[in-house]
Amino acid sequence: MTSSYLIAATTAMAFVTFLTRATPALLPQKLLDTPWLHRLNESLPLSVLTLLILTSLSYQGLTLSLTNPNLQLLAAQVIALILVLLVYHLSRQLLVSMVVGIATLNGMLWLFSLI
Amino acid sequence: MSVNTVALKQTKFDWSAGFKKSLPVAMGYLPAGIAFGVLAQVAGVPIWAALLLSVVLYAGAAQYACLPMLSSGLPIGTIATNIAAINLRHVFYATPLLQSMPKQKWAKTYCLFALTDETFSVMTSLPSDERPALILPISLFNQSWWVIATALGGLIGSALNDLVPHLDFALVCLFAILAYEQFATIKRYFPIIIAMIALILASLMTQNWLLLVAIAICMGLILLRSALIAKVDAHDQ
Repeated sequence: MTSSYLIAATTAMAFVTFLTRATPALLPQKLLDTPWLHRLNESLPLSVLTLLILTSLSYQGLTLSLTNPNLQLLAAQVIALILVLLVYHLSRQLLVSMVVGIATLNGMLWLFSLI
Repeated sequence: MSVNTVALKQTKFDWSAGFKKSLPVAMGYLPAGIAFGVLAQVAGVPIWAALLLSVVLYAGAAQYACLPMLSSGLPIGTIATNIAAINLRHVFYATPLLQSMPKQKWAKTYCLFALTDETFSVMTSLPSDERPALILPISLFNQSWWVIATALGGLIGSALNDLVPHLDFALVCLFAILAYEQFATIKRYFPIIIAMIALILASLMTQNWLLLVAIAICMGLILLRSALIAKVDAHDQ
């Protein structure tokens, strides 16, 4: 792993990543003004956010047993996220809600460890 | 060209508000970036290269994924193809924000470059009229948190992540809050239901490109629904 290899690989990765991010800006404006694209713009962000949440949760090695650590982790994550949304709904405090989320996750995992 | 014409073509930025809006992202980026810095060290990637990745690549999942590829010395073309596949979902990110991009070319180029999952999420949660003044500051501050965290990760090792377990869960919490804000804006459940259906369908097709395929299915379902509604409306009239 030489310096020149690292620089060349990083440059190549940066180039392809920028290309993916800049693609919509390279398309003609006429295409961007179409009604179907506006509908897509309206609904896609919430779908993507939902996907980002769902794919961030742990599904590997689940079994229907209360002592299964993977099920416990998933349950703790879901409970923590519900509490995050509840706290945010009531307080509108982003940072407080996120701290509550991490604390709940760790607290739930500690509780599950007692089972 | 008059001074007024030039002024009209410039976007003014709200750096103070941008900094505040970037703080929740910092809570997620700091542990994740520190973890990246630590993992880069473990993979034998020097700290300068880890910092270079965070400055010029700036893509969380791709940066984690490239570490084993770099340390095993894979051909650059192979690495670039894999990274393109991981980041292909970003093709869909800039479209909702194109109207909010700064007028200055350098700023627009940077904002497109720095459009990560988190920056996209924060920006699309803001009212449209606030976005142009905030997109550059938020993008810049978000990347700054990521670069600082990478440097910290390289320097302090894994001590912080050991101190607070599951600190990276902050990013998932952030996604949930931003989804709540999105829902509050559009007040519709169907994008959430479509995402669930898309994820199930995508997981039956692939595991490696799950997010990319799921986003593509979401796009298809949203367009299909729009076409059906348009057809029903036309029939009623």
